Amino acid sequence: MSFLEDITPVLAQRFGVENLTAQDRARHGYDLRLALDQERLTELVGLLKEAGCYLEYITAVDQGQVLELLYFFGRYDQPPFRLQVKVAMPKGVAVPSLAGIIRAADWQEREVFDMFGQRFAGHPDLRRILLSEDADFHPLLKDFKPGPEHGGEVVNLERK
Amino acid sequence: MVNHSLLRPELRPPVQMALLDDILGIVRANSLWPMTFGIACCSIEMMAAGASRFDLDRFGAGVFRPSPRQSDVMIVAGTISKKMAPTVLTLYEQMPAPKWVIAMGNCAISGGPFVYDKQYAIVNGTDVILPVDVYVPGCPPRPEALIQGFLELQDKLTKGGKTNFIRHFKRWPRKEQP
Repeated sequence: MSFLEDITPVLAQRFGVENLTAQDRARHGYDLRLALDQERLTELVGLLKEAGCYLEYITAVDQGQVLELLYFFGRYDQPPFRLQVKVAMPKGVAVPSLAGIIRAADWQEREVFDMFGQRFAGHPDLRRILLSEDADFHPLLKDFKPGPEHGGEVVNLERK
Repeated sequence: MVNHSLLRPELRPPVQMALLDDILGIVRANSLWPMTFGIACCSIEMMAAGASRFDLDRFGAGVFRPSPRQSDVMIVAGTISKKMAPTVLTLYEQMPAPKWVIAMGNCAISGGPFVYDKQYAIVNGTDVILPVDVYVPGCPPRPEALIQGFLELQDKLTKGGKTNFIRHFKRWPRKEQP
């Protein structure tokens, strides 16, 4: 019996069957997708950590008014298991930080903050990680326009 | 009192006179110590240049020092992001003078493939923040190209390379063996 068959009823019972979608791993790269409220994120991660899962990465998608945070959890298992957790909320709402539970989430959340401006409540050290400390923009947001006011140099690359 | 050695050539002492600066140039050119410092993928080629197949040590430049306090040459081998630029500048300032900079690869020369209009993350070339002596083009340059960059730097220090007798050591005449 695989871990996927073990964990699916547990997640369905605690977080709702309607939020859980089975996915074709060969096509999407993960087995399960779980849509989640941000208040229940800590609860889910505690459960997954006890089940032996690890955090693969955190990323985000800018959907206009809504920012989708995508957490990927994996497990060293045969067959391998991967879960996508999608947390969608309006921009500007802080999400509970996972850095207290999983140390690897520290830098991942800093990167999401750097690129999307998403705040994480309870993060120990929420600073810029890839861009310089004095940057005042979040370049992966859809309404970001690069320009000289963001330190971008105007270069003319057309061959004369 | 007449100095006879100046009048009679056979009495001249076997000593050549030169400016101290020229001698120091030859000495410095043949013991360029680079800093162990690579930012991106060009540093892989830099490591290959230092390893046994290409053997940068033939030209006295293979002693990669792990501290900027002990090194003469900074090889900027890779992309300088704006986050990294203050660190690179600090390393350069920590090196004791005289010091030289080799910009290795297109990223270090001009920003390379990362340059586009109004980009915000990459410094457009090393010479924006540091004085550069030798540019080695390539993406990445071959180890031979880096070695040639070092030879160019040696030529710069010895003002053309003809006075650099250590490099032309083989051309010294040898006595015929009986």
